[in-house]
Amino acid sequence: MSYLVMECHPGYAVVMDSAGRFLKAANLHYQVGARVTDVVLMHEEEKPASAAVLPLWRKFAAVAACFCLLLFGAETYLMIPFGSVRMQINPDVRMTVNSLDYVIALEGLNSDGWNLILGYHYTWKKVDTVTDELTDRAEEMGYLKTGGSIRLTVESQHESWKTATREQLVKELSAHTGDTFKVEAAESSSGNTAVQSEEHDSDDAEDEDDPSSDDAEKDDSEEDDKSEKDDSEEDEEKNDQTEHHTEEPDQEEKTEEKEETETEETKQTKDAETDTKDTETETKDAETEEHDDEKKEDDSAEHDEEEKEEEDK
Amino acid sequence: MQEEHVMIKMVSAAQKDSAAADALIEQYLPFIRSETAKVIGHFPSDVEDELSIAMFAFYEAAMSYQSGKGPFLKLAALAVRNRLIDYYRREKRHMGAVSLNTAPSGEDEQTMEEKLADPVNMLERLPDRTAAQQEIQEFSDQLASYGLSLTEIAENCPKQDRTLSACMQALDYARRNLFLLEQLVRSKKLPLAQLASGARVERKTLERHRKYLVAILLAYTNGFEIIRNHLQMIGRKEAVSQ
Repeated sequence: MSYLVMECHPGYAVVMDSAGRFLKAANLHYQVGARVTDVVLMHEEEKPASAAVLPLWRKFAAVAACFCLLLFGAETYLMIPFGSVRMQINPDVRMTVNSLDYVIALEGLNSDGWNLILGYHYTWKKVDTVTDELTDRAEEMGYLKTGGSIRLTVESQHESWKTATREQLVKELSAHTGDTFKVEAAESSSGNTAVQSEEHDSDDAEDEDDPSSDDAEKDDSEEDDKSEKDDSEEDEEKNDQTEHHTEEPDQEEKTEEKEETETEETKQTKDAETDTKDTETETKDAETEEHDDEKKEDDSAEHDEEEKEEEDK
Repeated sequence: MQEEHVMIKMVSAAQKDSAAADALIEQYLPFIRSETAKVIGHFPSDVEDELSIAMFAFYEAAMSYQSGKGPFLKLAALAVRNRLIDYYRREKRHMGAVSLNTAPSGEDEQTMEEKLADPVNMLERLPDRTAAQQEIQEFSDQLASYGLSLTEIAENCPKQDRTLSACMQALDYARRNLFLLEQLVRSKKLPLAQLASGARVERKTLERHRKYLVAILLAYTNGFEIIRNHLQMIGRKEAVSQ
């Protein structure tokens, strides 16, 4: 191919090829106007990749898509339940809370609970605000009276959040209500009933002391079971006491019989432990009565023998 | 550090202006000689092709340099070395050839070039060369009146054959409609809309190569016979080969 040298520079020369292209080539001592056949052409320049020029509607669409993705992601993140707070007055209400402590769902666990939250808007409100406002509503609707009790139960898989939220809610609600109501926080997920009372710091504040808490206990099946267990233990202690009372007069004379009766009692109590606690107490009462009858019969028989011996004498 | 900043400024100026590029090469000629000597094993003289190749490589490096991607002189040294290696590989095919400057063995000191009869008398060709130089100078001056230089034309020249053929279609249309060429000379503006519609070529394609189109259309106005002959000679060769 023939090239016509068009321009010469120290570093390069501009040549025109046969097809009409103007090209840069190495200036191998060329002169303008010369025709050369073998040239060292310049490599194709690699221009840096510039940002693609998008039409305006495409830019707008890209921004809108990013905004939608951001919105969707944020909504998904905000609507994930992080824990729940159950508020028991007489109305029983459960609040589902996200990680930012905002209430994302509200439901009533009994009919009064549904009545309490009927017409109430909880959106974009934090859990402490909702508890305060629901307490006010309960007071207005007559569910809560002076001296009444409010039980808060926080449930979550995150222990630190659960503890912090429980303490914060108790403080907030007690500060909101003043000393008008008794605010308690119960941890229902674990076996022990952990009650934090603001009014009564001592451990004597049991559930039985407060009538309103008794109402709350009716809904709590686990605590009912615990109370039943406590009752059964008390019955057992009473039984032991009644046995001691029956054994006192004839301790010296009936030692062997006592050992036998005790072994029978322990066997029977062990067997009875497998059954329900209520039936245990009933059976134990019946057994103690039978034992008493047997002892009376034995005593009467012994008295008869002694009388016969005296008559013989 | 200060020198590096100055050099980056000079390189960026060379990328925009051909005169600045020439000045940069002149200034760094000792560096180019040094790098050439590292490859070829001796200090190059001014007439050696290796030095021209090295200067061309330095110019290429300056054109493709991007600030922030390392020092320029390292890039230039690498470019010079690679270009010279490519040049030697290319020239390898001629390694067995005997130079015309050497004298045949067992004869007198007259070289082969002197003994061979020259079919073309250089003295006869000298007027043609001078005429070509004058015409190209005139062509370059005319381009300058459009605010263009031959270096810019070379940078704006289409790279792909398809684009080049589109430009050539526009040129053919202008040659068939001479008023377009006259309009170009008179108004100093390229009649893009008429060329695109008449030659049935995408206007955007022509717009991208506006500078090249001005040059190639200007070559077909009055007075540039040698340039036209060069182009038409090629066209004839292609027609004969087909």
